Amino acid sequence: MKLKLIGVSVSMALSSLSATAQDGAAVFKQTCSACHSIGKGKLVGPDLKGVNTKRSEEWIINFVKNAQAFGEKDADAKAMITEYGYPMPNQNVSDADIKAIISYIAENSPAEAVATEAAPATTASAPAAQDPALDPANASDEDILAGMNIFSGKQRLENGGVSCISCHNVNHNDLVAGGLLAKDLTKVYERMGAAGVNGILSAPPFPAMASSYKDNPLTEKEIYQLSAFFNKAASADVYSHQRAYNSNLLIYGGGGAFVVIASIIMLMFIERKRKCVKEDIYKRQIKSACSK
Amino acid sequence: MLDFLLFGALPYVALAVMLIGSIYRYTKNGFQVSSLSSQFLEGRQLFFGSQFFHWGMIMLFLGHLIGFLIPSAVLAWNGDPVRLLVLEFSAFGFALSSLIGILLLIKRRLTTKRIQMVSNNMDYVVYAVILVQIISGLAVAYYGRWGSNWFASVMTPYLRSVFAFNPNVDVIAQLSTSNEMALLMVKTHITSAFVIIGIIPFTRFVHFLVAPVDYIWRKYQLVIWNWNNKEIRNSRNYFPGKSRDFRNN
Repeated sequence: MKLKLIGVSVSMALSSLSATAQDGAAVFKQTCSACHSIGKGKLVGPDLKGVNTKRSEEWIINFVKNAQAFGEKDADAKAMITEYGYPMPNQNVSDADIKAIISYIAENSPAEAVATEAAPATTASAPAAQDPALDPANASDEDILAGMNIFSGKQRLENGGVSCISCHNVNHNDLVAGGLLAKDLTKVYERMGAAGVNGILSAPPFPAMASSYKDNPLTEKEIYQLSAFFNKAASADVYSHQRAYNSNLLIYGGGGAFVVIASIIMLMFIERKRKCVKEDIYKRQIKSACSK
Repeated sequence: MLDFLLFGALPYVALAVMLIGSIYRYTKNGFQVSSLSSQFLEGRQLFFGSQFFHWGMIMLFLGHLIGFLIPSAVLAWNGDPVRLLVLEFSAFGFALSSLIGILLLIKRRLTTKRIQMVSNNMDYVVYAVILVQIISGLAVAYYGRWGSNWFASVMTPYLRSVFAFNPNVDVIAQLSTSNEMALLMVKTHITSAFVIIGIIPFTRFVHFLVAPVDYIWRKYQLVIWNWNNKEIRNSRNYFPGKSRDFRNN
């Protein structure tokens, strides 16, 4: 019986292993493609073409699982993180999945992996250059305004997702101070470009953001409008005022609210403190006795 | 690993201990399921501490509960920046109210001899946990602001995943990649929340479980008062069912 059970579980484990191995393409699309391409230039992260020959399997697995911790030990990883400005978010994928992805990359990297260095540079601008009408830099004012309203939550996202301002700040004269939980997005367009913004918004690589938009993704139009707004905000940042109240907004507001709340509590309940619970009954008693 | 213990395992330990412990305590010493009142021993400081603390706590608890049960309503409310500010300011105000209340209560317990006579060690543990909980909550609101919004979109799915027995630890472990202070405070806030749930059966926290909620909708208590107690001392003046006016009978 026990042997049979072990046999079943082993065969199940094997079949699941082979299933994931075949799914290298699917896993790549779901997990990596937001920030990485294979042979189409760098997006948010580097182009992964030929990464299987450049780095060892072990190196890639360590990097994918916890880039920040690995960067403290490995000089190459550290150089990579400093080059791109921030560590890659930790990915919750199994070793088998990572191996499947590597073999998928190996299959899809053209043989001339060590090509001329000029080639990626020309392809880098390709996604934006494909269609000038879709380049956020050419967006109309309406699209930019719509992007700002989507950012601040004034216009709800079509699929009901949470507004960007909950966690992100953009310095803009027409917006209240944004959230501080995640990165400031004032300069995001300069940092990542249209392709990067598009990649992150269509398949967020950060766990908290991914979980927020898992069931209610942004539409293509919303992403375009947001990119247009980010592009505008990055260039208009020089002209926007610095908010003096920014960091103490909650302290002032909350302090004011506390004064109101404390007054209400006192007005409602101070009688309980000042008078004995039975005072009314007691007074009535005295009154009726005296009226005789 | 620590993240997994705190956000993947602690919730279940806490909930199990709370359930089993509370049932045990209720069946074993039902009369002790309360937070032993000490109003009789000291009433003045208790009034201010208790009012500020409890009103703040009740409102914050309801706020978290609404965020958990109907997140889409919270998101809809927060759509307009003015409404977002109203919600955040009032939540922060209630938190300040709780903080001031608990500080007054701690001072009362530490400085009143009568109260010290009826305090046990767990009362001090309760104060420590509550203080950590309130201060970390204020810090989350301050350092990781617009928490009311991201609670609805991130914490609610996490809490649901906990109740679905498939806790999504990653969401909390990597809640923020750029704001370490907020991340630390959120983790502290969640951990101490589960600690509070876990120690319910061993502390005065049991009074949550027997809060007289039905007082809100129960009927008025009919207090019959005999207006002139001199006249009704004489039974000749009392004819039940006829009239309330004894003098005319």
